[in-house]
Amino acid sequence: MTVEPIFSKLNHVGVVVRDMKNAAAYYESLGIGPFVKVDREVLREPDAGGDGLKTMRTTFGSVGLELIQPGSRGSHWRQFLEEKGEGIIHLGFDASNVDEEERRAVGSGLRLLYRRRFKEGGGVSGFDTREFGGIAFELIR
Amino acid sequence: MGYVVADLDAAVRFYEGLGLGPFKQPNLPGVRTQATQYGRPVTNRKLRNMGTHIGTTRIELEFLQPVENAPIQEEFLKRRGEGANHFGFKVADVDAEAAKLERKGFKAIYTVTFSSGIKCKYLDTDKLGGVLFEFWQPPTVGITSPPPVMPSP
Repeated sequence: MTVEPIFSKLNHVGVVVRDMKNAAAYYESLGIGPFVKVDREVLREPDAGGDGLKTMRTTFGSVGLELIQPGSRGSHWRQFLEEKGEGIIHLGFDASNVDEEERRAVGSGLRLLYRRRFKEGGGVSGFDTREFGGIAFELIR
Repeated sequence: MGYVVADLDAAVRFYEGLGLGPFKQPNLPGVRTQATQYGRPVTNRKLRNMGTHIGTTRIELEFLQPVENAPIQEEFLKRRGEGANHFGFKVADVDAEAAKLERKGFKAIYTVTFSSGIKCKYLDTDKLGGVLFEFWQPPTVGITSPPPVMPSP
């Protein structure tokens, strides 16, 4: 039996910005957009990893572009902004079952960076692939 | 999408271990006929790079390791460590696409052309969002024969 690679279908590129609305207007002026606010209600879990971040999304070509405005201090996203400035923070890949694929990713040795699950179902799990290339990988459903 | 890395071989090993790849050197037919960096001619720029398509998509992940006289990547690496620094867009006419942004005040910080018709241009769109835009156009000749050299773009 062959096992499907976990990270094979690119869903979106995540870019951390200081001000999501300014960034959306900026990219729209460059011909990428329109951006819409993402509003998926997050389940309150102890390990939710959300920090009150806000996001907007668009699709360019066959891939999504997600603008992330970090929330509270000390989070993965806020830390990236403070240490490196604005820029690409993760690649998001489609998951058919995010819990199952998260288990496979952790089983293969990747450290879980954050996990959010949505009230409507589905969720995201971020993994620490930053040692080589500086970018996290995320699974999303 | 382009990543800047300090050690190309280590990055390729790591990501192939995660199921991406195989990574390959770019096939760039022809010889470099012109290159400018920050508006000045450049002849001794050296980069090592390898890329792969992500899954079955047309999205390519490219790793670039600056070797010599590649300040765009060297400065990125020094300033913020390894990371992704550009989106590359395949277009039919680089100059026409770049001109749209140049009219808005953006500047070309690197351009290169090959005898096969390949042309690429990086623009300084990183002031907000931290991401450079690269436009590149594919070769118009020489695509059926092996390249005489394997230059870095």
